[in-house]
Amino acid sequence: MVVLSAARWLRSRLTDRFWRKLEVLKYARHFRGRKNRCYKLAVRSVRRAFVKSTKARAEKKRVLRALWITRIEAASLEHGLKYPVFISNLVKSQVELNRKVLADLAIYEPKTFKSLAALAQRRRQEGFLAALGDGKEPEGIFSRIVRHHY
Amino acid sequence: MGGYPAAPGPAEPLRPPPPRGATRTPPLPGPAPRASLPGGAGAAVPRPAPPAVPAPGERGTMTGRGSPSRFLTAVLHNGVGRYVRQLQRLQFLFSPTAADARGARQFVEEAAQDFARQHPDVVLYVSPGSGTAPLVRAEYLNGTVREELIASKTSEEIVQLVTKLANQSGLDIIRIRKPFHTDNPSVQGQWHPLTNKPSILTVQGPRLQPQ
Repeated sequence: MVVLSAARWLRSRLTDRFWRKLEVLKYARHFRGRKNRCYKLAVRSVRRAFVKSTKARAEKKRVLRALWITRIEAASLEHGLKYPVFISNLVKSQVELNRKVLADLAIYEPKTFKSLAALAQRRRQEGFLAALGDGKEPEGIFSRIVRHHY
Repeated sequence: MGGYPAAPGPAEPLRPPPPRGATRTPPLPGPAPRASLPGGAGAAVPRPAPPAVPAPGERGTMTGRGSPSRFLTAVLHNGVGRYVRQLQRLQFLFSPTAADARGARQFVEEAAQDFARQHPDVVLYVSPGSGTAPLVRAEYLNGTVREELIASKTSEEIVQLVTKLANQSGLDIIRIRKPFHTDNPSVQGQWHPLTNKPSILTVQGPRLQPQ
């Protein structure tokens, strides 16, 4: 006998409800208040947490760059240089270190950072001499541009 | 509305749900399940098994404190001196007749010996006769046990999977906070507030003359 329609006295019960809620609650366990226990409140909070986490990825890059700049500024001021002077003269001397590495050097390799500050200071003096001098002195050593052919 | 099964009532004690993956235990001896419940959903039936553990490439979310995280490490500085393979043993559990275990059977017949020769420090255990889905269980030296399903996989895919397991350490596969780690970050001495100050400030003792 072929049965063409499902028997209508069978009903299907949802048996997974606990696990479906647990999947959401596990991301809310460290929240404050009832939203770490109650599913209806946790759903809203967890969704907002995920959205904020997504948007924060672009913001993290900005925050970390600002932190590095603050640290480089503090370290270069210890050596008597302001941050824009330090960075611009390093760039003119073809030292292509980024701010992350400069900040790490300032913390973990203070003598290297001091020598970089001295390099930037010397390049600054050479720039002044080239701009204000008579043109009789030879051009500075650190002002030479090295062209790499890759 | 009508049609729902009758509530269990005070005679049925509330039980906490069993942990995920727990085997079905027989119902506790207590009041016999009432025969009047329609639909066959007896009050003594334990909660059905949760959905299968998703593959490691699942859509897991990476919140900062919502999901676990760890720092990059090697187990006991493995590789600094000699390298010790962290995979201890592999267990292949599959059925000799099931259709989805065909790749597993082919692997065991053809490629398992080559794999065992190439990885002499890994012990392979093959247990045909399992009634469940074919899986490979990897145990690591730090106690981690990792189970992977090999149902409906070809022999080459199983070789790739098993090679991947052999190259892993047993550390958790969770978010790694930084892709680098060093025990000695500073060679010249970490900065402290007196690093770039004149050394007269750090000298102590009776030899320091008042200016």
